[in-house]
Amino acid sequence: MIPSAAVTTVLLAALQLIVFVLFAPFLTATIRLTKARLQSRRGPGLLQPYRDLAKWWGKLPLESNASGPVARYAPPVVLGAILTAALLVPEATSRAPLLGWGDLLVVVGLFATARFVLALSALDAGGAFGGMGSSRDVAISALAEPGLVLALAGAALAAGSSDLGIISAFGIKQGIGLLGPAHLLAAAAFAIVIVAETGHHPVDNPDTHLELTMIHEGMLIEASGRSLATLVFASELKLVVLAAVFSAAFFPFGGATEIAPGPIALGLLLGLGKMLIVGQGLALLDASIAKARIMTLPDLLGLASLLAIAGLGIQVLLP
Amino acid sequence: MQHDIKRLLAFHSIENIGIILIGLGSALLLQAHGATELAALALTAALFHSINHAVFKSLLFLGAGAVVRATGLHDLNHLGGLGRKMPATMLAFGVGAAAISGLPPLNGFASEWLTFQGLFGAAGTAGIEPLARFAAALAIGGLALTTALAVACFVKATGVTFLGLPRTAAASNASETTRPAVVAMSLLAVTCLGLGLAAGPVSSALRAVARVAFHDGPPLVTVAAVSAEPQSSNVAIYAALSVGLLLAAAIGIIAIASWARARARVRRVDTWTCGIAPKPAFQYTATSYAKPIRLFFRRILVAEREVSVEYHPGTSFPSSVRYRSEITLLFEERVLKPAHRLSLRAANVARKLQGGAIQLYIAYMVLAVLVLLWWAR
Repeated sequence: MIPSAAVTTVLLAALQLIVFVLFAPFLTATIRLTKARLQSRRGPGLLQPYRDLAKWWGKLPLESNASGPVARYAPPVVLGAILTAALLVPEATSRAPLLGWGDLLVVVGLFATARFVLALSALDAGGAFGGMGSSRDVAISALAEPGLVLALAGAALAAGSSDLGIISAFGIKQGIGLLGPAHLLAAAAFAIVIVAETGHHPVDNPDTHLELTMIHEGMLIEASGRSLATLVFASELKLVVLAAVFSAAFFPFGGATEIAPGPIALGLLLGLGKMLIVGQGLALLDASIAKARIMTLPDLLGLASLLAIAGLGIQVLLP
Repeated sequence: MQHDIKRLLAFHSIENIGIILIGLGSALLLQAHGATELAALALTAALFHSINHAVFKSLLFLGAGAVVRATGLHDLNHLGGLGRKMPATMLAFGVGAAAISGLPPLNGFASEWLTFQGLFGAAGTAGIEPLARFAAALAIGGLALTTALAVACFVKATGVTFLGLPRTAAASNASETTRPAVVAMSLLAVTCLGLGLAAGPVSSALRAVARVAFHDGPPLVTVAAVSAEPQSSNVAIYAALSVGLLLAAAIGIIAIASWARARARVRRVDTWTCGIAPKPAFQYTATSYAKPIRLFFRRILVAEREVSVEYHPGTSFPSSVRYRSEITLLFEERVLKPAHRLSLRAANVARKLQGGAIQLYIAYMVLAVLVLLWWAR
């Protein structure tokens, strides 16, 4: 029996939603564990992020006297935007679960929505740290955005579509021949953007609570209880979604091209494996290099844009 | 960098007209090379963005007007905490800010999405010269940078004005604007959302207009109202209504889950400021908020600053510290002002020709006739 299109969409969306939601804290856990081992610490167990989320979810929320509805209702909007983006990215299959709902620009746009609302909510309490984190986050993202879009534009021009599913299917069909110089330059640019967007070394330190160095943590400083749990989970999920975009656009090999249980299971395992590799790369960065001064970040993020531009140049000017 | 709320909005008009012109430019480029379907798409983007800009910019100016009316202040650095006094204005201004920043599911995103698709089309059409295609590809990066900077700017404008603690007495004594103004802003805010969700029907109506200019075939790129299966000819789809409703559903479910029972039990505390009582002066101002961006772009945003400290006589304790900073506008200093000076100088030279003596004018005419005769010889 061949399931109808609507049933397939619902089943794939539900599968992806459940897998991403359950996997996101685990990915963060593996990054922390590797980082700890590289620093000769034992590190927390792999279930610690789940325990943290459960702990915060059950806690009595504290709200600042100065803050109002923006800080209160921002966390659901942030997580909602990232969850929506999560369903527009192919993972187990070469098509996104929500086929024909939106392309890579919609995913980038939903990330921008999440960033806008989070940065705004950080200003609500009227403290210095929220403003500091918020101002740095929007500035760094502004520099990262051209690299992000240009890198994806390279993949989109090669495939002839900005739909992530079509890009991914194109890549699977090309096989190893996909990995030309233009493609690898774009992939390198995207890798730098992942580091910046998920707040790992050398851009941000995910573990710091030292006041003057916080970026993402600075924005969460006034959040507590369920708001904190929602925002932390949203950032864990964002890493998963970005890693999924990375593998769909640049290394889609192994994704299921037909809708059948066997290939989907295989594609899912390979997809999760690729995410773990991305996570280990981030852990390696965290453990091996120091956080850079914020003033030097334009060099790094400019490099991402330049790599992506070089890739596009090869693609367009040297056919 | 601009902290006068109305001038800030005026500068963003330049940004948005630039986006409209990107659409128009890629339409002409594509039309010149026979890619009529994509040309009609890019023109649709330009038309759609013109409409959207009219809506969200009016909304933002009304919001800014309400702020100026309530406080008498234009400078963001003197505002703050207005959301508590003017919740309706804050909500409307926030919707406008999100729309101008190009965030889904609002209208600004839909037209910028189409503009991006036009650029993708121009960069990917094989018939166009490689250099022009490369320029279109670079414009993709430029547009991405612009929209991300707009996010930064409008988080600043909204957050510093409406959130946090009031920075001056005028800001803390503000009150909500008049009812007709609230109604007008609400209508425009609803229009922003409506045009965003109805991007499918609106853009197909505008395509009909674009079709007048360019011959049009079946659409390559679709803004759909609801999700659509990509056909073989489709390049990309943005199902505005579906994405909007999914987003709303996700937000609703999470919001209900987080606030269903916990809502009543919230403990209110002071904002954490390392143990000191919070003061409005601890907050990031508009100037400090924009500082990372100013530093990142320090080659074009040259800042002058001046710190002067006065001490209590005979001690090392400062009695007053004054800080002044100013951005030198390089475009104004290096391009506009020299051009202005040059045209003034040229006008002064031209003035000498107009001496007032009739004999001089007759001499000019004779001279002109002689020159013409010689030239037509």
